[in-house]
Amino acid sequence: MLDWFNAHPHLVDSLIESVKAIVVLLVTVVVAAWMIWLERRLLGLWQDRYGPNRVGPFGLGQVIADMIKIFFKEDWIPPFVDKLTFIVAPAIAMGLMLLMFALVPVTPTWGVAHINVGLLVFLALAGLEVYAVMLGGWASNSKYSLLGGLRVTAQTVSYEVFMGISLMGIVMLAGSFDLRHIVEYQAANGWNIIPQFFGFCAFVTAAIAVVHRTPFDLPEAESELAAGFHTEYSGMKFGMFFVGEYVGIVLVSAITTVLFFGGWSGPGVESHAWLAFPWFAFKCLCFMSGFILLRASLPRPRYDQMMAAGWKVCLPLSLINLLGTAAVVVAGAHGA
Amino acid sequence: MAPISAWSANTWSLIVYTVAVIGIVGLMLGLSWILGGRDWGRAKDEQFESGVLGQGTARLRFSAKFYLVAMFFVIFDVEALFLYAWAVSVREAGWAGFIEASIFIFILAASLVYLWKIGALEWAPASRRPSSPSEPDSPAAKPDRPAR
Repeated sequence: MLDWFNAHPHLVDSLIESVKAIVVLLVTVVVAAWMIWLERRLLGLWQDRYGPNRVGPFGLGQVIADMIKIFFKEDWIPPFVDKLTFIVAPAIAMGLMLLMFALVPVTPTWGVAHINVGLLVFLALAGLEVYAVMLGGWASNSKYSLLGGLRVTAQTVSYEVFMGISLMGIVMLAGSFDLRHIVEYQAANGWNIIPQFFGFCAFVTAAIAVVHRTPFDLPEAESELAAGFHTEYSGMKFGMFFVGEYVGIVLVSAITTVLFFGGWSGPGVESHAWLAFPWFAFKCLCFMSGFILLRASLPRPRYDQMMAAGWKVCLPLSLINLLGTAAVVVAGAHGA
Repeated sequence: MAPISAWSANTWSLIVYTVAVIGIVGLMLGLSWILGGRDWGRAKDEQFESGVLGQGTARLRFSAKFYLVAMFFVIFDVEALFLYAWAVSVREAGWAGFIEASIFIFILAASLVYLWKIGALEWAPASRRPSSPSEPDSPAAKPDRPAR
């Protein structure tokens, strides 16, 4: 048996990497699910109430209970909807968010895909994400859904324009689209948050708008649009939109950590390699809690204000950031 | 393309990951379809409109504003694509590349300013914008309007 494995090192490598990939996927899903619990508990804390605290220790079992319950809910496809698109939309919402997580370099040895244009793939998949809500809103054949879907489409495409541009400063500094390379660059030269502070501001704004989290959750503004694009969804299909949103928060936290806060690098990682994952997880947790704090503290802006903020503030800001970074980088390489 | 036996371990992990994602999504959809109850309700076949009976269809004609935003997206995202290519080669391109990219960005910034000036980025119709006394149809420009 052992001889056979020794004779096929490539096959064994592939197997190990594949098992690691599955582990990364399962951990992502589980973290996203428990993120719902974290959000409810933290909101409870900040709103001076308990939050879920009955099922299991600290209410940790609430997620499992909710999941079992939602699996037994009717898989209702209303007769007036466009059936195929109606089913595909939540699958896109959740599937794409999970797929994007393949690009995240978790630690030096963990992480699913090693793609040298990782950042481009991330932007491309983020661009596809808009189809989930657009198709879902249109397929529902309901006025609230259509309006919510339109809003979210306009919002997402507007913010996507400068999401990429705001990250190009990092690409210039690191000279690569490779996320691993970007982390290693930061380990050697300091975190990107300092030279790329404006890029960070623009990126976080764009990322919140693209995963349409509060305060940019206008497509789901209850007071105007009921539940927005998922008004006609129920049961697990609604659940997939819902979990997809939390996967999105985990993903955005992880990507922000990787791009601006040095990924797995931190004090003591060089001498103790096992510290890489705790550092990564800790940074991600800070961002995840930060997104919840945003929800707890900020009201929704008006729709036109939000669109104006994107086009009139963030887009010029990221262009200026891009030119400024380029000037510094070129001056460093060629002399002023 | 390399034969399958030569694919790297990372290619395999990505393939397995993608298949597993599709599997999870399919499992969630399939399980709830099998496990879910079936029930009938009087108003279940109607669109939700906050309890009001629906009028007309949801295939509405909606504001042309959304098409405008989509067009701006195409224009500025293509700009971004060119900038991506420059960003990764900024050191090699040197000052010549920097100047050329600056001209490119300047032209697009000028078009952004133009869109801004003609009000293409505003959502409210011209007559209902708060600070537009020059608009002929705004209330501020009609002093002869009787006060209420």
